[in-house]
Amino acid sequence: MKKILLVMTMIVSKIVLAESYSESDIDNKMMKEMLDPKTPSVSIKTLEQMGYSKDEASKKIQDESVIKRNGFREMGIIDAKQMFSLRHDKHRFSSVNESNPYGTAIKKDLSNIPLSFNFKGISFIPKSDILGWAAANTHSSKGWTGVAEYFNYPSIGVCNYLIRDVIESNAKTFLRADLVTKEVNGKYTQYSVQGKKDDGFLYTVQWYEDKFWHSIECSQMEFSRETEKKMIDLSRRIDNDKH
Amino acid sequence: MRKYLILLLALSTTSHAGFLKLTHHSRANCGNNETISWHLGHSYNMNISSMHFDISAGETKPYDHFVCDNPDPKKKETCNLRYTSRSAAICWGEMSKGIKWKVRGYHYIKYVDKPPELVGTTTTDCSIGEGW
Repeated sequence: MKKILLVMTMIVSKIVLAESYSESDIDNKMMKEMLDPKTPSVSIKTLEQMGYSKDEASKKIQDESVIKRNGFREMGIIDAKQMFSLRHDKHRFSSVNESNPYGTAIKKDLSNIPLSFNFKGISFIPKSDILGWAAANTHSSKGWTGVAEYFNYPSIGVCNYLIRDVIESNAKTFLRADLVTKEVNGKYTQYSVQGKKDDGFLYTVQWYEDKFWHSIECSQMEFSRETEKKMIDLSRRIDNDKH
Repeated sequence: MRKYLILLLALSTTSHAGFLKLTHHSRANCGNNETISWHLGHSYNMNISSMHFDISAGETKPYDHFVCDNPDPKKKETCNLRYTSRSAAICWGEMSKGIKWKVRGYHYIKYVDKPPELVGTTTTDCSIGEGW
């Protein structure tokens, strides 16, 4: 009788295992779907559509509600301090990097980063507040498919705006239906904050279009709930800007 | 520690790594054929794979050779995520086979707080200017 029970348990557990994906299986499934040429650059998916079981999905949604209540995901980051150090580092520019079209360190002049798309920088950021520019993403035969503008934004902190060329970099993403909003001028938007005391906090807004993906990251040493509205306002302003 | 990091960053200004942002590239016929994602000092869960085609044979087959940074030991031609600041799918010395190669790289990044992304890089060139 015991043996029969043991065999039955093994069969049932195999069936359960077969029905639920491991985290790695889910990523491979999503990656495979993204590789399909018919998949658009941006898709909205529920956690179940991504491959999570109902239990895993509700656990993830529960985790997010705790983060939302706290206002941020508690984790160690180096970005906030790195961004602040740019503001104070007078020797951040190097002539070797500046003249190298493939150089990825910070540059003084945007024109030294050949881009696959037209971009002049955010028009309403005064020159005196621009800290520099950095290449990002991939480099196609047309040039870099991403660039980040680093700047001081007095009402928030030190920020960077990243714009990426989706077409030239063959980029795809899946946005979680339970996290996505349309706060930036009706475009798919995701907001997050991560950091911890002493490390500082990184506030991020990402918004998506068919041809370009955008994000702003701003760093502060202290957490403030008021920053969310300022981040969304800044994102809307950048999105409306004819840069 | 921070001083060493700054010194390292300063010395790496011409490196192929993304200095301030994550960068992705593929290179072909460089001695090696390779696909790499790299962000200095920042780690992510990455699944990087690289498909290599013999150009003279055309793309009649899905690929002639497939390599990934973190192959799954149990599943053929399946890759797993690896938490790292530099994920590289490299076939060392593949050029010595006397074939003219084309490399297609797939860079899947799973962020903690951001949506997952897939970026593609394609090249027939060793130059870092194409296929980044």
